[in-house]
Amino acid sequence: MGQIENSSLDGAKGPGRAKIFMSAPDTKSDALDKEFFIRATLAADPVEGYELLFRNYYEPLCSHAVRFVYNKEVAEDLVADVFFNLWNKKLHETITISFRAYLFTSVRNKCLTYLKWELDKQKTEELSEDPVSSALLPDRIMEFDELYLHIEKTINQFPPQCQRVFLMSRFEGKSYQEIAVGLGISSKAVEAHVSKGLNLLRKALENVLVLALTFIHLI
Amino acid sequence: MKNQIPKDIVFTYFAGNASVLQKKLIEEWLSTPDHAEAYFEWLQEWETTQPQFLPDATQAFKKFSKRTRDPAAEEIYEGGEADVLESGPVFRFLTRWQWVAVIVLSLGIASYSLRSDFLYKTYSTSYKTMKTVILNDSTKVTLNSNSKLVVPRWGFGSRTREVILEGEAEFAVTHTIDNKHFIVHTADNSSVTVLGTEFVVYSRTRGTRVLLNKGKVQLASANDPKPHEMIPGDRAEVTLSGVIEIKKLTKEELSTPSIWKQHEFKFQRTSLAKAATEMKEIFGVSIIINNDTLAARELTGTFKAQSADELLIVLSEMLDMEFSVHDGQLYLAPKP
Repeated sequence: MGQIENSSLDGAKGPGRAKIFMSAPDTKSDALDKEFFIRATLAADPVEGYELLFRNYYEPLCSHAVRFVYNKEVAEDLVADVFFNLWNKKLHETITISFRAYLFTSVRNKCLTYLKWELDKQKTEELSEDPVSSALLPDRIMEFDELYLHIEKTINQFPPQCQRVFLMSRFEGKSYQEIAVGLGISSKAVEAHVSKGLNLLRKALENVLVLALTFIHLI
Repeated sequence: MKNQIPKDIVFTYFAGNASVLQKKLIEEWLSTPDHAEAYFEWLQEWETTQPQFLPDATQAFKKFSKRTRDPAAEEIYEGGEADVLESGPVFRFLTRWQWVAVIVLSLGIASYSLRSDFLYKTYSTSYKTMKTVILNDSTKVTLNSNSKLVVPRWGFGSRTREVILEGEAEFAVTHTIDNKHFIVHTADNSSVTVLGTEFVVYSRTRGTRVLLNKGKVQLASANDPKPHEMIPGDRAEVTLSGVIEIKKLTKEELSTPSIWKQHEFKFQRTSLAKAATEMKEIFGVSIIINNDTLAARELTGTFKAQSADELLIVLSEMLDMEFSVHDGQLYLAPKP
């Protein structure tokens, strides 16, 4: 992809040398143009528009979500919820940032709420933060990156059998019985490994989660 | 002010390999709000090239359409959201439904109770009927007579692929993209775990028998939970005491697949009454002999039959009797 920009040496607008940039769009409107087709379709037929949204974004969104929650079912549920929310509130008619930015940010927020609930067992209000206003803030963005990388590092450091069991249970969604049978260990051992994994995660993330959420409420 | 940043650096950052300096670069770059859009475009690209798993977007959209079309169902969904925060994460798909269902289903799965119509769909055949069922994951199950297959009504295929079988069925299990196991549970608490394959399960009061045609299967019983692996050509028996024995199908049986679907009856001066009991155990069919003389007639010999009908036709010739069916019971009577 590239764009042609007219510019002159002193920065004044007007005809000047044409430069070709091979780069990502560096204006917001360019990003929106890429979604032009989606927006046009949405205007004409919302259902078809959403189908396009799914086709374009569902898989990468789920893949991204699973880096936080390490659970395929949950990841898909969270992403589906985000799409549903978008539809229900008819946000596709009003948002000004790209769908991509909105969707990724919403999914990240939902993952964070989920983690907070799961590890802290606390019922948290859906983050009152409006994804639209915060999506483009650098601090918020990078904080989430730190979070998923930290989660990955923590799980990578689980003792091997614990990691194996944890992934079979969470990521693959296998039942304790299935895992016990598959690995030739007792159900109790499976339960212990999963518990241990959750505790390790909880400990690793306790500071991060508290900070992240505090930050959100301060905005 | 850095206007551009090479995509490579951002990809390195996504992968967690960026240096402190690179992170600083990115932070500066992101301080121009518009660059955030580029960031997300690259995030999408990165996720697409290194997916953590492959969900089915088409299926997901179908579910989404259903959800949007049915606002009444949505209320349950909204209520379910609150429940998500109350109940445990383990059976997450349950939380879409009322809490009653949460409790019932956990108990149901734990005890494999066949009582709940709400949560399970039952396919059954009576004497003389056979039924072929195609499950949500395109697995084909052919039920022999007097058999019952119980399938979870919700979540089958996405959450779990477990069914309960009473009787006999032939399974042609599909292989799912995420290698989800398909498990058949039988009344004696044995379980047959497969990835995608063809096999036959017999589960009557006498115990469970499994015959494997294609693929690989793991068999476990209540008393022998460590899975025994079967390969094509194996035939396994789970005795009443829960012991698993795996033998090879004979050459004859291998070359003529229909043979291994046959049951063998060995009678040695066996009374018809006793034979009838055996047939009940094997075919699940209830036989009533109203005539004492007939019931006491003795049979000797080896008989092979796939169904009660087949055997009875032969026996009827030998014993000069006729059989009829009323209300799901088989009646044997001497020919007038």
